[in-house]
Amino acid sequence: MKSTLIRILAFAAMSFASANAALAQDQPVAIVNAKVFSPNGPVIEEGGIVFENGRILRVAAQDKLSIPENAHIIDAQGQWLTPGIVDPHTHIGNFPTPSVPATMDLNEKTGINTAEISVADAIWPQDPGFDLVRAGGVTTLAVLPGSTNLVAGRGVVLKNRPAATVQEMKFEGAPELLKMACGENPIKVYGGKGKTPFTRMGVMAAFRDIWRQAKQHYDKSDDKKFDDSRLGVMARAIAGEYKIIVHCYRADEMANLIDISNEYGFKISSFHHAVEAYKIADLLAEQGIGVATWSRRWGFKLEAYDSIEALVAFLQDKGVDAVLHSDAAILTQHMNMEAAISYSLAQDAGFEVTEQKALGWITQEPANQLGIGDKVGSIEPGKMADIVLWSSHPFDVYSRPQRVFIEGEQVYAQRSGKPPHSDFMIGQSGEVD
Amino acid sequence: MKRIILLLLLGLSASFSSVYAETIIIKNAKLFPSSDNAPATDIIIEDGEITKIGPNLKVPRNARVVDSTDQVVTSGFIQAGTNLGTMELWDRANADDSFATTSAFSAGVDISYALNRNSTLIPVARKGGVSHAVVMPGVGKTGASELSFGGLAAFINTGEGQDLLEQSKVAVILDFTKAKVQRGAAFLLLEDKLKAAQQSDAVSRDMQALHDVVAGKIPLVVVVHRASDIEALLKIVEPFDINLILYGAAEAWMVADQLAEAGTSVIVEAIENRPMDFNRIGATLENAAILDRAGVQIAIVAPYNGHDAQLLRYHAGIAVAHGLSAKSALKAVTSNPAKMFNMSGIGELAVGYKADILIWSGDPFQPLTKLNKMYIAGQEQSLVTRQDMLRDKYLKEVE
Repeated sequence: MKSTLIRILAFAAMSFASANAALAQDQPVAIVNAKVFSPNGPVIEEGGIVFENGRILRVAAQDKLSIPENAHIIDAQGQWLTPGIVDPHTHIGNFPTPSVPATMDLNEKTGINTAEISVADAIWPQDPGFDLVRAGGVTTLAVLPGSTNLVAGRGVVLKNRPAATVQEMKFEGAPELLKMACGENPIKVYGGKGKTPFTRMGVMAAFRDIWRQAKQHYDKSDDKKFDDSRLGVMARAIAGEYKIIVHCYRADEMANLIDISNEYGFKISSFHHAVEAYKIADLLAEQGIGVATWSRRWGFKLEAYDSIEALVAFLQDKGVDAVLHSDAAILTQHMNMEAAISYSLAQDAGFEVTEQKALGWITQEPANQLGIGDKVGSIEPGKMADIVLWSSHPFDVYSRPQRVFIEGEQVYAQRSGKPPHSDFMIGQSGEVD
Repeated sequence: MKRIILLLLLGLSASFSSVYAETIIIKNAKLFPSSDNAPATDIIIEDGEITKIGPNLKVPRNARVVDSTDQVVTSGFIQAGTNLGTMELWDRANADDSFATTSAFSAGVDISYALNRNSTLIPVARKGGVSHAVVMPGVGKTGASELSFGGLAAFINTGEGQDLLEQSKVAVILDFTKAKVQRGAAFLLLEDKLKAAQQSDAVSRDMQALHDVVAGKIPLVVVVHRASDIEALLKIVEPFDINLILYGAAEAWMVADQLAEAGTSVIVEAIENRPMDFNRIGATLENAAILDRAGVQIAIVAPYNGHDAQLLRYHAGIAVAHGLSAKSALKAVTSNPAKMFNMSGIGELAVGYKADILIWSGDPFQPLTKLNKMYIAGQEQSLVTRQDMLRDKYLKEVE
């Protein structure tokens, strides 16, 4: 039943993708002799996969795989094949390297509510970070505005394909994201200037003001159609048009924000960072709110002090939809290690977790949170052919992506001799690869 | 309950300076890295030191036997660049003493006075296999002086119930990337400072610290990234008898041969490959491997922030994934940093060395490997952290 549904969705999307000739994969590809490792089933030790027109056509044990005659065949020579990594929280493209004042497009620090801004308007496709995280196997990434504003603005889901414009990178059909933030950062930026919010009391009062106005605007409308002004975006948020992501660390603040969401009728999709989520696991489970967090990042400020190991496993054990994210661009390159470390910590803490589940923390489950779980996140027929070939098991610290495909197109090969995509890196001295 | 913990802590602090006298024999451990058919090794610990090492050793009388069959044994890891023990939280918590750059002192700042052995970061580092660290003041900070000397570093151990400070004043730290003046002046200022220190009878603490540097007693650690800066630095220090160590050094690999020839060591942040600014466009994960191949003595460090010291083992693994041999990576987190900072008797599994020993379920750089036991100066360490206590508290509450 599920697979039928996925197939129907896939065909709908496929006909759309094929309309865009620039992205189309021009020849069927078969990868053979691979260890297929996907969150939705056991490892296929001697497996193969066929993809065509950017979609996975078949995945099977080698001896049962039927390969189209005109297929380009890649012998994986025993390498590991996984779905591309999906990172639900990054700042690649809007907080790029080199990190200089000229590229500070993270926070629109002009007011506590900037719902009208969109990260898509600031994405710099030449950010060398896109190349670096592609080499780490990241094929889909959410890029979010920063956390200085209570309502920070809209985020965007991208395919990590080499491109000159954000338009070519946008994940077609992905829901729009709206980012909010509570806690220390807004207080630091605005309170530091003597403006509101100066305290957490100010944060929650300001949230109520913002959402009260949004609710009034929403209620006044007969057709419930809104523009993309600040108030329009807020009303759309109430109408459920965005996945609402909230940067929040402390349990008590998350609970306060849940109250506000229930008072004004908007739905929080997930809390990000959320290192204290374990203190309110039951509440999060009951409200159906997800969590995206780290394996081991902690303690840099007081609201991150009570972080625990094995948080993802802890939350899942309590019925919370929990996944891994990076936020920091170094981690984005090593999400396989994030999953491996979290898997190991979960075992230490006595949680029963399979390695498929742990792989799911960086693939299928973040894709689900972003509302694209039917399109990416696993190796299944009908899904986008976003694929990583690893030199060994991706939880092996010595493993490295050898090739990365996005919708059937090879977008990375180790030591390919090709110049970097980022024009910024062209002609700079000292390229190693 | 609370009172019991307090009493335990008091008991520990009362006994922290006493020598740990238990005799221990670790049986049948595998060395790392080693081939599958290499013979297992026994290690005997007496009075906190390794007194015998080799296959099939006779069990001493009264010795505690620690069967380590199929487990991997390494020396304790050294995080050679951190604010561990001087900082609890760096952001708006008034809990960061990792620098004293607001003072009139510069090179003479002594970070050993800022050490807090009750920091909750220390057990977390320990759980990552970090038995020692080089605590460096003022990294990343612009100081009162034009050249931003951070001050004198301290070599610490993370042993529970032990004196945190192993050795104070092990190096002078200079973050060249935080100089208040531009390059055309900054290098001259450094040269003039070193010349003055050579001639000086050390009238101030700052000059005394630099005097120890130019006398070759302690190394000068310089945070620097750009290849041309490293070359200029080598020229400046060449006439002096200075033991130079580079820290960060994202583009060091571009000048690897010059560094090898000058005998300059490099502390590499193995995971930092982003072109963060125009001084490190050439940053690469292969930095450690290229330097090692050229014959440069390297140490690998996790990020400076003490919360991240626990990540050292994985970052060494990432350097191996990018071309470094496992053997060199192990040295880069054990014996090399000990040698760089003149800490004799630390950083190797050898007779006469302190018994700082890690027993792992397998390859220590692998995330799926567990640290099963840890000894510092022969004393078995707790691997429980505040984070574990928090988790267990909430696990029990919902049961």
